[in-house]
Amino acid sequence: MYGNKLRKPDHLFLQILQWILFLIIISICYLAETSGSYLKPLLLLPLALCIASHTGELQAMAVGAVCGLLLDLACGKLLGFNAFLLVIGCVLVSLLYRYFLRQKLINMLLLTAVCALIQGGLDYVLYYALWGYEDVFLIWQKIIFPSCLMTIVSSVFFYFIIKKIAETCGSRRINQLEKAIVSEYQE
Amino acid sequence: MLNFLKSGKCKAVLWVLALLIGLMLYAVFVGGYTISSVGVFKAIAAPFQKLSNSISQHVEYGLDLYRNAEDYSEENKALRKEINLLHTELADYEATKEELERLQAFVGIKEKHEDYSMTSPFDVTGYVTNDPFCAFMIDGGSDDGISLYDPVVSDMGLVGVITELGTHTATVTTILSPELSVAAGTRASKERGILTGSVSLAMEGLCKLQYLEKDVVLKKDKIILTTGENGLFPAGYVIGYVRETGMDDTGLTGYAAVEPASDLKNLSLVVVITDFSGKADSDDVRE
Repeated sequence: MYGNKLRKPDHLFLQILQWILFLIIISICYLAETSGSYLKPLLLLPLALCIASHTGELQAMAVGAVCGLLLDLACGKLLGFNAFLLVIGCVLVSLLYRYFLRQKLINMLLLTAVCALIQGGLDYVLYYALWGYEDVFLIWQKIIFPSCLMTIVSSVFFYFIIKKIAETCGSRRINQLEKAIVSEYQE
Repeated sequence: MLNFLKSGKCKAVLWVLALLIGLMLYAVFVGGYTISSVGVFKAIAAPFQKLSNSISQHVEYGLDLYRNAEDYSEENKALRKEINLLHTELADYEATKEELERLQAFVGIKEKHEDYSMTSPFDVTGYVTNDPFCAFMIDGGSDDGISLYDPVVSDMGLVGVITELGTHTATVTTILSPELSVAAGTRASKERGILTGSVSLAMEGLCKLQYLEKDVVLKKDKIILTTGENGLFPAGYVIGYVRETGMDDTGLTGYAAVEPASDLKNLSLVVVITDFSGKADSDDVRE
């Protein structure tokens, strides 16, 4: 699954280093989410998806759960709401990258857009539209949709950072389809 | 892909999803995220949040100065004019104040708000991300004597109520939220209504004083105060100023758009009123 040519202890050290770096980035994003009263992107969402695209399904699940719970705390949502969505999203992203997708920016942009719009849509329906507030569409128009757009744009930044960390730490994944083609060609 | 569905990994993912659903149900039953373990996490994160919040406030301040320099210059001129006007009014005020003090001593009226029990000021640790109604978190909780639905005020006016409570942190829902209703009005007995949030007005930082009698005419800049009728807020506390007035869609009652006296988007210190005369029981408030 992983294309690494390093000795085992070196590889372990790099893997630990990689997860420490991921945790530091997650912490910084959480702090950024809870600072200031201005409109901002949900940074933890594209970050979790980018990490998931470089890891196995179980690691992706753990990252989704952690980032989702932090997002719940930052956004004042029901504990587990975003975690539930992100666990599903991260596991699916991890599977998609294992079997079908390649590490391309456009793929990550599309996946982030789908996840951000689903998350934003559910947030809008469950937290605002269902309660029948007057002029409720303004919340979608002026807060949730712009935030979704910012989230999608922010995924560009995370795509390159996480890709660089994953490649440096030797956990670049080769997708199954690519692997099958390469092995067939070699044979 | 089918291999994954048959594998133990898939079962692990399903277990975690079931666990999260359980967590959500538990959180619903205890009300919001008032789970003790989360409170501990938030207490640990609070100093870091404060630090990043102060950094972002400085950055925001710098950017704001750069972008709005022209507006501030105009505002400065207008404020200078207003100061001159206020200086002339101050002389009248001093005379009135002296008279009032004599009257106060004469009739022995209690000092203003003597019935309040207040906490020490709490820092605003951060705003709820992308909340249209400016909900925020403070670094005080049940251990500091705060209870659910206690009123929160700043030195300028009413801010909101405590809606989620941990041991060392609490979340405040502001008066911009449609979830909150406050009995409010002017000093005149007829000019009273219910102050609540509205989505469209919240976008402009305003709230709505509704159900005013049809013939009531509120002038711009008139002060709106709490009337204390529902027992949730103490009577006579400043809420804000009238910005515009109009008639409701039904045409039966009037409304006024009220600008909160406190700058709800840039709060740094708030105080919680834990007790006051006429306070309702928390069960009544919840209803």
